[in-house]
Amino acid sequence: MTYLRANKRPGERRKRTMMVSGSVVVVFLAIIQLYIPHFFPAVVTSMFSPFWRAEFSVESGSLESPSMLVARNEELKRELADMQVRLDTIGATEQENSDLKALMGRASTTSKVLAAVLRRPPVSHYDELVIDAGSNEGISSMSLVYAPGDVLIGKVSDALGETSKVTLFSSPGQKYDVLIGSAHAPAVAVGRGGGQYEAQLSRDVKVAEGDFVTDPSLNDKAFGIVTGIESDPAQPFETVFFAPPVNVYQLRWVLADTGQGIPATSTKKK
Amino acid sequence: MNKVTARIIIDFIILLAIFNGWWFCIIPLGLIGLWFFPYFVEIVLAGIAYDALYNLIPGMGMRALVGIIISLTMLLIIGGLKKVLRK
Repeated sequence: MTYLRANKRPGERRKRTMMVSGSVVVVFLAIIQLYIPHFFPAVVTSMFSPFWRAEFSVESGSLESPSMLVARNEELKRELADMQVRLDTIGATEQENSDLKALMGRASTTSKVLAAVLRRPPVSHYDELVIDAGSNEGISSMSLVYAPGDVLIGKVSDALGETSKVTLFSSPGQKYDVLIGSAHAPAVAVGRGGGQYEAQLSRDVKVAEGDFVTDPSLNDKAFGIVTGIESDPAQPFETVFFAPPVNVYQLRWVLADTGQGIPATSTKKK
Repeated sequence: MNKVTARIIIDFIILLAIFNGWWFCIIPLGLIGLWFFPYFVEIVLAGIAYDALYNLIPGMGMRALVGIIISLTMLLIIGGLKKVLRK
């Protein structure tokens, strides 16, 4: 007995179903991304961050033998005792500094959160860090981020619940107002990527390699150290190259400012 | 090794590459997967995951969607090529 086939081209129907369902999924994803921009980053980061934390712990030596850990612990205790003595001296100076600022009505009320660096350049691109502290710890977008030693390195560009993305000021196109050298010459630091900056200065300003570059705020945070100067006698300006005193490729911990956001005029994007 | 096992292995390596941010591994593996397996939508999921982890920052504009755009482009181009060459 011969039957008529219900559909002359079953493959075509399947293909059409696939295309329609694919389009529906794409539209659905686009709508979610449009109206809840933090949805995908939050979901995917919460899936990956436990593995990143585990990797961080392994890199920090949590799987070493007990004898090695004990020896390292002893060594670190000795180092800590040495540092404590130095810290006491610095602490006294800082106390004096904050007392003087309080006396002048400019006391700092900001607090910082210590965060582990889960991802850093070159793994993450655009000179971006992923840190393991987020809005749950009081971090918000535009919070300033410091490397150990109070070196200003970037700002929080996106704060999720338990992680945040930090854009370094050295990211290409990022600009930040700084003061260069002992003359405190104002300039705009332009990110070149890889933790490097450049700035244009008048040739009349005396700048030498090794000079400090600082943040123009009252706190005068260290920003970088001049590593090179390019001068053309035909030009009225010289290009000053500088880098932070810490290596952004080796950062393991950072401090995120929970109280102080970045001033709106301080950063610009090309 | 059958095709399903090979596909699972490639998916797993792509997952590891996303974990480490190795886009230079994800793209060639995606091309291999798209060429040898039907409906290799894992590459689009990889693009979404990569952007969600490293790119999706407010204010980045279309640069934030580079993973999704590249994966969809690969899917369309390889899909078209397969159709033309395997006729």
